[in-house]
Order: sequence, then C-alpha cells, then structure tokens
Amino acid sequence: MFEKELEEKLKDHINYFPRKEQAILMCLHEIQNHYGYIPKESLKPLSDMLGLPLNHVEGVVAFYDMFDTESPARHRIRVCVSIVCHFMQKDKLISALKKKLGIEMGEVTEDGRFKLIPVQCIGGCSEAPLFMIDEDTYKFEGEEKLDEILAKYT
Amino acid sequence: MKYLPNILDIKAETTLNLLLARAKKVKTHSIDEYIESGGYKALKKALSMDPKEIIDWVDKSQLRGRGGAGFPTGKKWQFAVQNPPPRYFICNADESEPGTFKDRVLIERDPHLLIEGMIISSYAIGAEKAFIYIRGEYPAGYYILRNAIEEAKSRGFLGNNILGSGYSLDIYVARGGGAYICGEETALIESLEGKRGHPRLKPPFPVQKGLWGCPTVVNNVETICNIPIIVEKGWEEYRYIGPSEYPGPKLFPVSGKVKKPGVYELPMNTTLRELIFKYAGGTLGNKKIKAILSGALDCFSADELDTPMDYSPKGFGGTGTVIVLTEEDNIVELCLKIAEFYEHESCGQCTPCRVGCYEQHNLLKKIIKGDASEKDWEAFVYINKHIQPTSICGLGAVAGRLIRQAMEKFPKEFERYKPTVVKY
Repeated sequence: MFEKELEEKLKDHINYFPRKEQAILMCLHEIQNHYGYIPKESLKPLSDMLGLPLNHVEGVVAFYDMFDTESPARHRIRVCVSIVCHFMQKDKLISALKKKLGIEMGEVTEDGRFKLIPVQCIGGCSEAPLFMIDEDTYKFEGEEKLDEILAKYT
Repeated sequence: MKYLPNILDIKAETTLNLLLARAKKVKTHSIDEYIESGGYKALKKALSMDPKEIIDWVDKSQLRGRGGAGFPTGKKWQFAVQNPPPRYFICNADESEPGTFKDRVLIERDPHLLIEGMIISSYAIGAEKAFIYIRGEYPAGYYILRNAIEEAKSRGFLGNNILGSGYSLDIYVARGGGAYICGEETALIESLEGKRGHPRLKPPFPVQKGLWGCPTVVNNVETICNIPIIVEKGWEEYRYIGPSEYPGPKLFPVSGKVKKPGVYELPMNTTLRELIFKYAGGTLGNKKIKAILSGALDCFSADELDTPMDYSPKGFGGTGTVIVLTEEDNIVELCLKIAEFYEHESCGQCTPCRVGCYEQHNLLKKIIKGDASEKDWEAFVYINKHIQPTSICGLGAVAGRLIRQAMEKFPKEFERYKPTVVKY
C-alpha cells in the first residue's frame, strides 16, 4: 500500500477522469515524483486502484520513456540529444554536466542527488541546447549559470 | 497559480497579430487579460449559432490541420457528425517532432485561446467531454491548462449550461509519458484510454471509431486556436488572410543556425528564403546554408529556398518547422541523428518499423565509422526504401524519407564514406 499522502494524490487523479484507467500515466508521474523512481512493488497496488491487470500496468510502464523502474534519484536531469541541440553544441552542455556531477549519461551520482538522462527533443529548439531538471526547463548559458541552477536542487 | 515550473523565453513575432496577438509577450495571460483583449466573444457568438452553421463556416474557411497532415478541418468535423453520439473532442498537444515548439508557446502564454477554441469545436460536433493530451515534457503547460480550465469554469464558460445556452462541456487534461508516437492520433487515443501508445490500423478513422469506439475528432493545438478567429471574423474575412488557396495564419518554429530563432506567425505564402533572411535575421556568422529541415522533417537544399509554406505539392507544408544547417554541418551526421530518433521512437508494434529503424541506425553508424562494406550499403538502401510502404502508421512512413532525400540531394557527402573511396 501507499503512504497516505501519496494515496490521496493518486485517488485525486483516478477520480478526475471519466474512466479510472485513464489516470495511469498521471499516477505513474506522481509515484515517480514521490519516490524518485517507480519501485516495482508499487505496480501491484496501483493496478488494484486502477482496476487493471498487473501485466497491463507493467506493459505501460515499460512503454513510456519517462518512467524509470531501475535507479532512484532525487532529481532527473534530462538532456536533449536530438537534432537541433546536437548541431547547437549539446556536447558542451553534456561535458559540463558530466564534469560537475562526476557521472556518465544514464548514471546516478553517489549521493543519489542527480540522474543524467539523454532524451529526444524537448521542444524549445530556438533556445538550444536544452535540458530539464524534474519539471523545470532550462537553456544552457555557460558553466557559471549551470552551477547556479544545479544549486537549487538539493 | 501556486506552482509553475521554469519555462523558456522563446522569441515570438507576428505580422498578423492573430494567433500570437497575446502570446508574443513572454507571460501567461490570465482570464481577465484574455477577456479584456476581446476573448470569449467568439464563444458567445458561437453559442447563438446552430452547430451545423459553425461546421459550415470552418469548412468554408478552408482551414487545414496544423499538426502536419494538412487535412481540411471542416471535412473532418462533417465526417464526425455523420456518426451517432456520444462524440468526443481531443486536442493533440503532444508536439514532439524535433524542431517543433509552436504549440508550446500558445499553451504556455495564451491558454484561454485554446480553451475557447475547444469549447466552440466541441459544441460544433456535439461533444460533451473533451480532452487535452499534452506531452510529458511540458509539465508547465499541464499546470497552466488545469488552472485556465478552473478559471473558465468559474466564469461559466465551462461546465453545466454554459452561459445559459443549455450546452454543457467538461475538459480534461492528460499528460503523456515521453513517447513521440502518441502524437499519432490513434496512438494518442490508445494512450488516453490508459494503454501503450500503439497506433491502430485505419480505417476505421477516429471520426468513425475513436475514443472507446465512439466518433472522435482529434485536432492540433494551433488548428483549434484558429477556430475563435474564424467565428469572430466570419469565414469570408478569414479567407483574406494570406493566399486564397491556403488561408489563415501559420506559426513557423525556426531553429538551428540562424541569428533570431523563434516562433513566427506569418501567412502561408511565406517562402523559406523570407523566413530565414527577412524574419530570422539570416544565418549565424553569415555562413552559407547547407540544408533545411522543414515540414515533417523533409530535407531541402540551398537551391530550394523559394519553396513556399503551403500544402501544395511543391510547398514545404507539415507543421511549418524550419531547422537551418550551414556549411560546416555534416549531412551524414544529420542522417545518423534522424535514424537514432526514429529507432528510439518506433513503438515496436509492427516489424518493418521496429526492425527497419533499428537496422537503419546500426548500418548508418557503421557507415559513418567508415566500416561499411558494399553489402552493408546495399542493405542500408534496401531497408531505407522498404520501411515506408510496409508500416502501420505515419512514423514508419517517414522514418527513411529524410535520409533518402539527403542521399539524392547531397550525394557527394555520402561518397566519402563509401568503401571504394580511399580513406585517409
């Protein structure tokens, strides 16, 4: 079972839609925000709340890119590696992030603070190169500014 | 609003002051600001009209879908109302194509334009429930829309008995989970039903059997934002905006190697040359243009700068996206990024796309390393050609297209990777 606070949030999503199974992606976002990833043990209680078979829920989690059942991290840094960012010097952003965090793409920092994730187009290409931290979207404006931004996430 | 994630200050300019009348300013416009600048007038007018008349106006306006396919919106609505209720209306806000960020600007800055357009559209097709499916990577847009819907409800524009008309509508917002394929309308419907985003075979089209098997209209954000403009101005006046065959305002998201990247609202007879040089300030460092990615990720060379943005066979059409690459950029590297994108975004349902996109990417990696044999080249060309005609949906249909166009338009760029050429 979920903790009370999280359970209430999940119930809100489920009651919001005309049919409860429609809330599945919203619930997965909520669970990931809460735990920093999606623990496999959370899928059975979720499937019960949604009235869906467990393997349906597992299939959905595996399909959508944003959900991570492997590595918990307090903050997810999504770096765009798609076409526009690629030609607008995304490599500078990536090497700055790797250097500051001491990890490679796909890894989590030792203290569990950040996970570095390559993603396809974020959709703000005039400001490329771009990255997201959790729900915030940023453009890369040099290493100093990057330090300031990272400092906001503890 | 209590909480709003950080959003980007995307430049937005307009010569028409229609879709970007408010959104050219970097701020989220509240319902009061929207009403003060003439908002929700079109809704009042629409509710006094017969729904059939609105469909007729949209048809006569010659508005075409702005999500990429360019299908006539009025025709889509006419097909939907031929089928019995319940009917549903869905706003496709899953904008995920590389280089496309026009819908984001409308959602984040002028959410009520979209909401007003949705209420009128839903009224026209007789839907009592409508949905916005917004991509997972636009969390700010999600909160802004939820807030705007509450604002609209509190003023009686949404909910039961809208403005005393007897018509009722609820709008729900759903977030995606990071899957490009969910921008394909049938995959979007599957996802909205709480499933994996696998496209359905068409026919039946969504206007026949869509959400939960009921007639459903799926329209793009920018398309829907045209509806209040058509209702307010009337279809005759709307037809005078831009060229007579392709009327209406169009948003062009311009990115890549230009001095002033951003979203531009212009008429549809605008050419690539005007967009890049007149509006976007020319190329960075005044370098020579090598290639432009436009429309639905089509590849244009510097010789094709006079291509207009319209839906004619010679137009660049699609979503209006423009990505500019200059002389120092490597075309084969571009193809590699495109192949990587499609491999990553293939939903895996049908074999030609799942395996084809994977192999296309692998072979291109080999080619760019200089390790490809004659046989690899043959396989590459064969696979590239065969993904398209054998796939279920549009993703497979375009997965090889840009690469094929690039091979035709830039043969020399590929020559140096061929095994017959001496490598240094």
